[in-house]
Amino acid sequence: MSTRRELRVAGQAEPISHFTDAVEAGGFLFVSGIVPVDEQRELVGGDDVVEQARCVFENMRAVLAAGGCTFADVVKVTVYLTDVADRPLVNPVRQEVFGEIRPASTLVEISALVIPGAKIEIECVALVPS
Amino acid sequence: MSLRNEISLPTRPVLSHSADAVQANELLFVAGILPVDASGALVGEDDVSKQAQYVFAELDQILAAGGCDGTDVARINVYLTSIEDSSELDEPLLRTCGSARAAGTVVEVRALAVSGARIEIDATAVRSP
Repeated sequence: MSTRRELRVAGQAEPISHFTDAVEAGGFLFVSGIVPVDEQRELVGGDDVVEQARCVFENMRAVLAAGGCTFADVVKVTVYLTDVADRPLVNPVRQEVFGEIRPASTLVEISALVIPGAKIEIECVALVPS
Repeated sequence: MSLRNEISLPTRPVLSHSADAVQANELLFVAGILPVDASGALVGEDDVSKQAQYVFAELDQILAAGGCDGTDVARINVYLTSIEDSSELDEPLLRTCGSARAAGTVVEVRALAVSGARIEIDATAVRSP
């Protein structure tokens, strides 16, 4: 049956605007775009895109877990980079995180993110295990 | 049985080879909404606040046509030509979603498909039973 659940996840920064961290609906978990910040919304990783990516995935792990999911349940990711040339730096982090799992993926360069200094943001959709 | 139903409102312009939304079972995939009227002309001039109000009002219409409302929205993506404009989302987003909160992503892009547009939104909703 289709139930809807909005998730605010402990340890995650306050969502921007009138959003929440993730919504479970229709058997899917829709995860907000995740930026490399700590609970106080301070940038993590300085200007190192690899460290920023690690932070994004750690935040994503926590949000997925709150929704009863792991990286193995992710069906789609969208990666936003402020510099598409960073892609080869970020890919090894994705491989570490996902292992054998390969979600559908889109990666684009955008001109700015909501957090000044952030170079990467990733959103995802996961299929909630039944 | 699976359901697939394309929704194209007569009040919406046809900008591309796409529908305004596609219903797929209980999911409703809403296409990118630009601040343009039925003729494709820009709405709100250079006022991002007016443009934001307009695209969310259009989202309301498309959701309704798909049997949903703002409380069914699971995620919204917002594309702005200036990230400084993100505060303009607060009021129309609250009006559309009410007590509900969607997952969201907000990014700045260099350009949108219609010249002068400063915001585009797309969304996925899940119809409540």
